Amino acid sequence: MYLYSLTLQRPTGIVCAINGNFSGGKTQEIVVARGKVLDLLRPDDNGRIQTLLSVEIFGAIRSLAQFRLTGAQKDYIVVGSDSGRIVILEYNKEKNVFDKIHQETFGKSGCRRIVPGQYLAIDPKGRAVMIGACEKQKLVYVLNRDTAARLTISSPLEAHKSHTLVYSICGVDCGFENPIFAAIELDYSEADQDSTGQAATEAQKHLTFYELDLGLNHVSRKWSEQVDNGANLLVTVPGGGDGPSGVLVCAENFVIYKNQGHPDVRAVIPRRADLPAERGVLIVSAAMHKLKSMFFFLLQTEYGDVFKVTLEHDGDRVSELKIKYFDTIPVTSSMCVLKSGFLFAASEFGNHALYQFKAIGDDADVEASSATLMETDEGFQPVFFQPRRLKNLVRIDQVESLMPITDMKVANLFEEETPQIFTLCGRGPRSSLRILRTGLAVSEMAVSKLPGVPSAVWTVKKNVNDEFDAYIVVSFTNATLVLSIGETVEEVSDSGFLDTTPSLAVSLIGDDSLMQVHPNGIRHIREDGRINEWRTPGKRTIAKVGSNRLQVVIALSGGELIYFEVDVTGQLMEVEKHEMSGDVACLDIAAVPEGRQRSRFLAVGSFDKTIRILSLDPDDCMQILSVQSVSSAPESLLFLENGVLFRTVVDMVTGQLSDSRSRFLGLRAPKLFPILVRGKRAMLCLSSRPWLGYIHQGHFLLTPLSYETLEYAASFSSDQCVEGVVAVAGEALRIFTIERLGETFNETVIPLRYTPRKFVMQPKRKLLVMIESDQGAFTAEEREAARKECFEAAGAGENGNGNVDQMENGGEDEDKDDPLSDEHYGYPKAESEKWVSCIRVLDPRTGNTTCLLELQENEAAFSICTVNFHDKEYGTLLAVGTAKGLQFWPKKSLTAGFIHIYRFVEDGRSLELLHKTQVEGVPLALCQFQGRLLAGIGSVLRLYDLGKRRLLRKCENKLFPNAIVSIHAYRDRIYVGDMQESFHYCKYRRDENQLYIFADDCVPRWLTASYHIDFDTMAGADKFGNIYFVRLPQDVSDEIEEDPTGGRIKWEQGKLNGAPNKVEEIVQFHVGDVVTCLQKASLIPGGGESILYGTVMGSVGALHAFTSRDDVDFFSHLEMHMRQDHPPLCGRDHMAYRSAYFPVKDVIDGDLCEQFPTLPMDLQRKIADELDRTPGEILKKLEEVRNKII
Amino acid sequence: MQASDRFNINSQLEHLQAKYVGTGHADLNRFEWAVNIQRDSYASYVGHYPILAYFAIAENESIGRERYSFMQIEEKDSCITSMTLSRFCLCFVVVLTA
Repeated sequence: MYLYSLTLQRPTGIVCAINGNFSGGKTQEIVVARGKVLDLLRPDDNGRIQTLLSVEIFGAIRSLAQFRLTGAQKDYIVVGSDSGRIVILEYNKEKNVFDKIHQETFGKSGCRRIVPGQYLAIDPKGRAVMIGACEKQKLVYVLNRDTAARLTISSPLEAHKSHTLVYSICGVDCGFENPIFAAIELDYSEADQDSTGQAATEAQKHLTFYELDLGLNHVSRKWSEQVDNGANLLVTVPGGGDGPSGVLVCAENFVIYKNQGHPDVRAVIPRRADLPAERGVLIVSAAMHKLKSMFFFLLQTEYGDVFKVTLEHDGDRVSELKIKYFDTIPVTSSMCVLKSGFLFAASEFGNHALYQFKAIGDDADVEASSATLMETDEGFQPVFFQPRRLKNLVRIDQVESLMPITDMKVANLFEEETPQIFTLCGRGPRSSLRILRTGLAVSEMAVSKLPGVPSAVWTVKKNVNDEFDAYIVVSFTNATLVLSIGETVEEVSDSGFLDTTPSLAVSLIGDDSLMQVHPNGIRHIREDGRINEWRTPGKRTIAKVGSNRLQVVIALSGGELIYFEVDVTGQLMEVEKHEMSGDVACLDIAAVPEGRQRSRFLAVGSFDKTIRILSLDPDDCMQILSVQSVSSAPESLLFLENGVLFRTVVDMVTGQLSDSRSRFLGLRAPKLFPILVRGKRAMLCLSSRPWLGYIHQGHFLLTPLSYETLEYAASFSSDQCVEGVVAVAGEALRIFTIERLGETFNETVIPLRYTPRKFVMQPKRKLLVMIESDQGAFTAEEREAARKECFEAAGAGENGNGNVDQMENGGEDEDKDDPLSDEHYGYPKAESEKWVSCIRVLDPRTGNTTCLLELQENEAAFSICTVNFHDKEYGTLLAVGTAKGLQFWPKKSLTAGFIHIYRFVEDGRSLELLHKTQVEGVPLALCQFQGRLLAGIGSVLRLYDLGKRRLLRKCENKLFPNAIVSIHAYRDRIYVGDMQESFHYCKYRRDENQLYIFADDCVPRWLTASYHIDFDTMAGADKFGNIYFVRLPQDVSDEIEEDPTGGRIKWEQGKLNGAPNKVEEIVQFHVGDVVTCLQKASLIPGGGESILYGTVMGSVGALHAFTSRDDVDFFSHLEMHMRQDHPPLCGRDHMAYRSAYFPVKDVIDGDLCEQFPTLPMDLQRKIADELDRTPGEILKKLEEVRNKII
Repeated sequence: MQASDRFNINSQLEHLQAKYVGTGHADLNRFEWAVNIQRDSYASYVGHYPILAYFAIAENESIGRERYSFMQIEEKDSCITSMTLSRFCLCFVVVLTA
């Protein structure tokens, strides 16, 4: 079995983000690392985030930094990854690519202890970069310019210190003196010698300054001082003329200003009042913003509160450090403050957001300050604050993020043309069920009813130089309606259009006149209102029309083509006639090329199943240039920059047709319309659903739109809607725009309460049942009570208590009754042994929860399945595995585990508890098996039957190594997934009532997801980001099945402390992301099935099995050439990456192959030559295989 | 083999040992071995963001806190072997159900 791996949805989570002027000029861009993908984002004029470029780098990005050489206008990007190399990238605006400027190797690849890549620090003046590892190694590279002003990089200078852990590094701003880097370090050499742990508790973190002596080209330890042991993050403080220099050390509960020869200035980080006393407050992300006259820091805590930190300083002496509560936004992995007054917040889970600054928190009241720091016997006195609604920030855009996907199922519950992907995403109060549909999202601007069923619609400008359209013309079967576009859309009658006849085409012709083609003639409306009519000869009517701005071709019924051109005076002149052999099915003229008089090509589709390209040149007018036959009569034709739906490329010189591609779009004959997308011509295909064909980052994409079936469409441009589409469907006129180009899926979001864990489907009732649970949170009632108390306290504070009053100063205009949304502020933290959990029945169509059972008394649900027991008394039941009082730390313990059995009532919309059965461990896996229930409880696999008051034990097997996390059953085989030890194949012998393990895997795999493929094959994913398939060898499988007594299995000796037989690994692939769910499904109607997976970083991918050996050969060679000629951007070797933990086996990386179109043309040709093909054929092949998957 | 050669090999080993942190030697005791395994694993977790996120979901903590505690624990834990293993498994119990 050979598989083609393709990422359908790139990772949506963000590891880190930086901002700068990467394209040069004034605009600020954001570079985000999404694990294995590097993206360049830019907020557009409307404040919406647009993705300019997205590159898969086949490696793990761990850190990013930007720097600018002195006096330069452009920022460079430094990437720290797992490649053992430092890579400096430059964004090339013209080609829209990242250019690799430098790549320096310093160590082994992989995320290792002592190989740098984890941390990056930049000298604020852009003279040097430090790249550090978690332990020991730090390297400094000097950056400079050569005589041609190109960036140069030196050989590395070592700043290693052995037996040292590094927590954070940053550059110190010291103007143009020697560059200094600061690091939080911890020396563990003594702790290692002492196994009692005494030395370990005494170990002390130090802040160390490393100075790079530019003259001596040498790095030395300049200064080292003890620092708070909770220190975890360093932030550069502006220096030189702009500030006092030095660093901010963020530690648990404190922010400390430190500099060489300067006393510490320390302030406590304010705590939320409801935070348990034993929990600290940790800063998880930081941003510095520097203006001409001042600078400030935004620090975000792990609970989402953002604090503004300012320094009172006189020269380089800092007198006070002030911390002011700024706002609360969901916890971020990185924050970027843009010069244009935006804050980009890259959330660690859930949607990212772009905020605009309304204020910068300039009020004098601050929560904590170094001046008011109180030290008591127990340590420093904490400061409390109450989170409030956003005051300084306002959210203006969101970027969808699926991170993390915890479970996923594909089904066509809504009976649409293609199946929907149901994913459980997010964490805690920000979790959601997202229904993904293939296609682009559409936002509807207007829908209006028309007096009848329209047959066609056009938009037309009055003048070629107009920015916006003037009229919408709608044709009915016996009339034409003209609507003028202004502030509102209104019917007009003075437009000059003939309204008593249907129209065939309406367009702008020449520079400023309008043309209406109706069945009996052509009406040419001049700008001054004069009207010229051309009538068809005899009783013949016009059947089809093709036109561009200067040329018109009409086809009369019977098959005669008449060709008109606009002459210099703006008159429409008949030029040529041509008799075709039969009726014309469709025709189109290519747009007039820039600077030309006319387009040379006319395409005519006939009912004899051919497409002809005719010349329109005066010297060989109406000569047939080429002919292509198609499988059925063409319905619609459209010239695009490069092709049509039955996509064929017309050679610009000879008019020859080549490179044709076809794609099934739907059940109805498609109609094609030209529209504008981002200023470029694109095509809209209307079949049983609308499709958009457009060019995105070098790829031609044909993507369905998530919208209703449309009859006819035209592009639309007005004041309110610059690039829209107007379409008719049924009796309505619809105006919509297309959003977020380049996306594969669009999503419908249904919010949930807690972190969703698993769900099951009830396909017949079209309902989902899911379990959600969260550790360390209060139950709904407790939260409600606490909130009430908190608001009461706040109310009391305003009446007298001065201390609280001060804190609430800013909030007086707030509506006190309106509670703070949990989604925004997170649930209050509880002790870690507290759990909340719920079982939910949800109707995905309406998004309504029909039943929600909140589990009581510290119980949390971990597994779910539907089960039909032998006695059909109850029909389908729901089994839920729960644990009560589960604790992981310091030692795993639980009060009890339970299996709940629920009955569906009210047609499945509600649940009723039948009984619950106590078990000794956490039931992590449940599965129906031959009318009974299989449960994996810890390391025990047990079979239960339904009793009146509880489940009845039938048989069990205790021989599993660690803990059972998945169970699949097929016939009498049971496939058990162990937490650490991969799959175990078991057999149930009914006559003996025993469970045997007859085969297992020889590789320890920490399973995170599993799926049953066929009788002998299982697919699994492990926590290191690998997907693998194992298969029981055919002979072993036959032997087991042929053994009638089962005696052999029973008495056979195990091998290597395991089962007697071993499964074989048949497929192995490193995805580079933790896969949490696997599913076999087909995403296109009538297409083959592929394995779909969802990951923690919020990406969705597919593995598709090749059906022919030729394809395997072709793609493995293409992959090989791509590996050789196009090594990954960040320096990781592609083969090594895909084989990071186990050698890749029988999987071809489609993501690498799909980078083929981004190669320079000569390289494309070179690779194509070696494969004995043309680049066009390779592109076609790539498109074909993609179309088989999605 | 001559005595000087053996000395040479030994000193080379020592050099390599110092250069590549985490490589074992003949006199490695159980504690050191466990510490090394632990540091290797934690460094790998800190480096692989998806794994870190996976733990964060399991423990319902922020990713930043998770990273901090993975770096921090190396100094806090005295009886590393048992503690570490329990932590590994336990995280997985939760996460696997996530």
